[in-house]
Amino acid sequence: MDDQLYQRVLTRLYDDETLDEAVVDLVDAACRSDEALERALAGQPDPRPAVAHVLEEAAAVAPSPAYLRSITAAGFRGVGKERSLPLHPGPGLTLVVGRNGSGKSSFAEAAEVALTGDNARWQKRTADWRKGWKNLHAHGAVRAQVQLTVEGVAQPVSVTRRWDGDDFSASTVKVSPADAKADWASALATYRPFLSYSELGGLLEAGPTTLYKAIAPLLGLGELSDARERVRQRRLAGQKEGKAVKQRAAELAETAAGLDDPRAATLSKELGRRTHKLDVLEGLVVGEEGDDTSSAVKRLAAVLRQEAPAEERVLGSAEKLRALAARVDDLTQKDTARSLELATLLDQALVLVDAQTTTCPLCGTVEAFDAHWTEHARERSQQLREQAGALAQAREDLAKLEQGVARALPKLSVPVFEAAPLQATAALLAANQTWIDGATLRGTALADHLLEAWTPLAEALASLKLEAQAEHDRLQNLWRPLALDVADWLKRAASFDATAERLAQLKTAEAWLGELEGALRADRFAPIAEKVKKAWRVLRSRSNVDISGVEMIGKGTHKKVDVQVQVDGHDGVALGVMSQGELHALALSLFLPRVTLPESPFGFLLVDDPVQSMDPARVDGLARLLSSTARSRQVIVFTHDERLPEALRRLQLPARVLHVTRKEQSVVEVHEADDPIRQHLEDAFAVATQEQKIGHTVASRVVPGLCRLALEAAVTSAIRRRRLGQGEVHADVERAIADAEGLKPVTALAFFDDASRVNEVVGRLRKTYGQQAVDAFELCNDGSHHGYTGDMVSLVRLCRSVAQGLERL
Amino acid sequence: MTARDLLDAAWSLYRSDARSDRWWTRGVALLARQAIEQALREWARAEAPGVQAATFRAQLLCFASESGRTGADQAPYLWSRLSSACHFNGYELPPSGRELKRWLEATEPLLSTPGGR
Repeated sequence: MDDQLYQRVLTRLYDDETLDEAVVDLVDAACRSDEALERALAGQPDPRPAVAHVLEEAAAVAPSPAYLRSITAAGFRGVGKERSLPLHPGPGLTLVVGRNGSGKSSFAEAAEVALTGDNARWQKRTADWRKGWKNLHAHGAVRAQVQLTVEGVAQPVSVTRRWDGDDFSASTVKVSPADAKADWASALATYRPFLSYSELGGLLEAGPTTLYKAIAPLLGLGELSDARERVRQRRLAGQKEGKAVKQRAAELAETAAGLDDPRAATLSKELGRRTHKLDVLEGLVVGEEGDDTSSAVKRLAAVLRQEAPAEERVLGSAEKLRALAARVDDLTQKDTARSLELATLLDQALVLVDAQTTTCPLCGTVEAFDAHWTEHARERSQQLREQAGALAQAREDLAKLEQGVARALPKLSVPVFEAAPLQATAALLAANQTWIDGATLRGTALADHLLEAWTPLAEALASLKLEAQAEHDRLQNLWRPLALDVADWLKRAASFDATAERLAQLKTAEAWLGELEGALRADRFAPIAEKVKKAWRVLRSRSNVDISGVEMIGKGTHKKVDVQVQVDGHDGVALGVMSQGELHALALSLFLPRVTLPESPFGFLLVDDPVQSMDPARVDGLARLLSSTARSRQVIVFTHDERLPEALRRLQLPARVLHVTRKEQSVVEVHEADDPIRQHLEDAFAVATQEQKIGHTVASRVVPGLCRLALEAAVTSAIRRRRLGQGEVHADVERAIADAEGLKPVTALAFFDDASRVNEVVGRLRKTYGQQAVDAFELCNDGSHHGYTGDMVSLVRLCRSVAQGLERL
Repeated sequence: MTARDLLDAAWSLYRSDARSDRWWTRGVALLARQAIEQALREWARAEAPGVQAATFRAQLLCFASESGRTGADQAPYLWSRLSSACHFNGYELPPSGRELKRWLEATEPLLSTPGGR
């Protein structure tokens, strides 16, 4: 940023106590560079500079203006053989008059192209049209050249652009002398000393925003705009990210709402909140199945964990049941039941034996119980008791097994899924019930039940699990991508949340810069607006449209030039009410101030064909406006007809007129017509030769005055040419001329650079130009007050020859 | 030639068809200025003989304060305006027709003596 502007921003920035430190850093960084702003946004702002000095409204140092000495074209556009347009390097109005096609505009274009390498009028043209840039009669070098005099630089500067081929964009430019300061690129864009009517009309028609862009560089606030734009871009990016985060949350919420999954429903609700609880959302997606125990996925997982009893176990149990039941049957059939009673009887008999009883109490057999019987009885009793024990054991074992099997008959838990019921549920429930119902059966029946009921149960469970697996997979396949998406979103949302504060700071910084720009802009544009209004008042002639105000308003992409128009004193009328001629006049009013700002390094201004679509009264206004601009600038106007020269002559506004004519083979001729010296001599001659008609009194009293005007013009022209050619400041030269009142003082100024040495004028005149020059001076001076009695035509001739000599002084 | 003759010539040129000629403005101004200068000479000869020895500017100031003619106090200003129309002045606009007329009218009373009216 331009240092002065930067210091001004800093002063205001540091003075503003309402601003956050962070915002101050952002504004400062934005004024410097993109990189500095990035560092500030990353929390590492560069150290803030101190305000270097107390700013005073330093008078803008006006650059030394450059004036055109000549424009030369060769083989370029309408000019074949090389031709120069000789110009007087200094303020003044020069008209270049020629019919359309005479080549005059080629000089205007040559000047622009020499300096800029391009031509605004051509930019909109077709490629075919652009091919015509080279003259058909171009032989040898094709070039466009300007020679300039820069105030304060004794040596002229020339800028020459050459082309070697047919490609207009392939040119080389040479500045001579090589060390001349001719770096006008940015100034050419800002102050653009070339005005062509088609271009101006186009700008106005393109609308107030385009106008703004054309005028804004004058205000020198572009870098402030850039700074604001830097902040704005980042603010926009931040806001865009915020919107994207919100938008994405809405999308994810919608996706989640579409899932038959309580997890998703919760997620959807959380995502739908105005402000998101990121920790809650994270909890929802981090655990695979979430926190909800009743979730469908959880219940499906439970189904999948269900197992039917293993087949080998069921078969084993059935086999054991059968074996035990068979044994119990077998033992029972052997009348094992009575074994215990028989053993008890034998035992009792053995008790008797022990009591020395030998006779059987039951059958009376004596000596029934001998030793042999006793031993046998004891063995038998033992045998019988063992048989009884085995049966009891077998019965107990069977009962135990039966209980065990019954207990082991599993009741499966079969969840009900209302939204998407599993097809095999009913079959499984039935099989399970049948299975459970077997718990009341015993022995072989139970074994048979096991074998019969297991297969349907196992099959039903297997098919239910198949279904459940499919459903589980389906739900998980929907959930997992959503969970992943939400996890991604969470990262983005978290990092956006972290920059929310930055975004607020960027907004503040942007608004602050915008306000500053608006304020500085209003300040700087005010004097330009005044010039625009003044220019319009000169130009508008009989138009009932007045410009009450011109403002540069708006921010960002909505900047525009607001032209407030009044019609017959009524406010608020749009530009649409203006005629084409008025619009062109307005465009000229808007852009003349641009080229006449003191900051512009261009002392010259080229206006191409401004008279188009103007009514005669407005041409008078144009003549006055150009003439008043020409007091401080070298104004060169290219025009295709006699309206403007006529208006200038009629209004007696000083102008140098060059006639351009084009002959065969694009040979262009430039002739000077009507400079003030010749003008006054011609006038004097006209009066002198028409004495009969005008009357002796008038003629004798007027001719010497007109002759004196011619002499003064000659001397003045000599002073200007010499002193401005040496690079003297124009204002100083004009002041010196204005202070030298009268023929002799101004001649003294021309001879000696000192208007007070009037007494030496006659001597110098006689020495340089002979007695006739002294006579001419005396006759004119005396005659201007007392009239001239001699031959007036001779007087005019004498003065003409003296004037010619003085002019070349 | 009297101041009256000169002023009449100025009026006559002012009204003539030479209006369309480029030199017309300067011509009228030259004649009007000479009328004032002649009026000054006539006044000095008749009413203030000593004054003739002074510079032109001093005579003009005396005329303005001493002649007692209507509008005489405006004579130096009027003369200087006409004078600048009679000299080559870089960028100054030549007077308009309306200005010329006003100047001619302002010159009118300078020509007559107080008693002569």
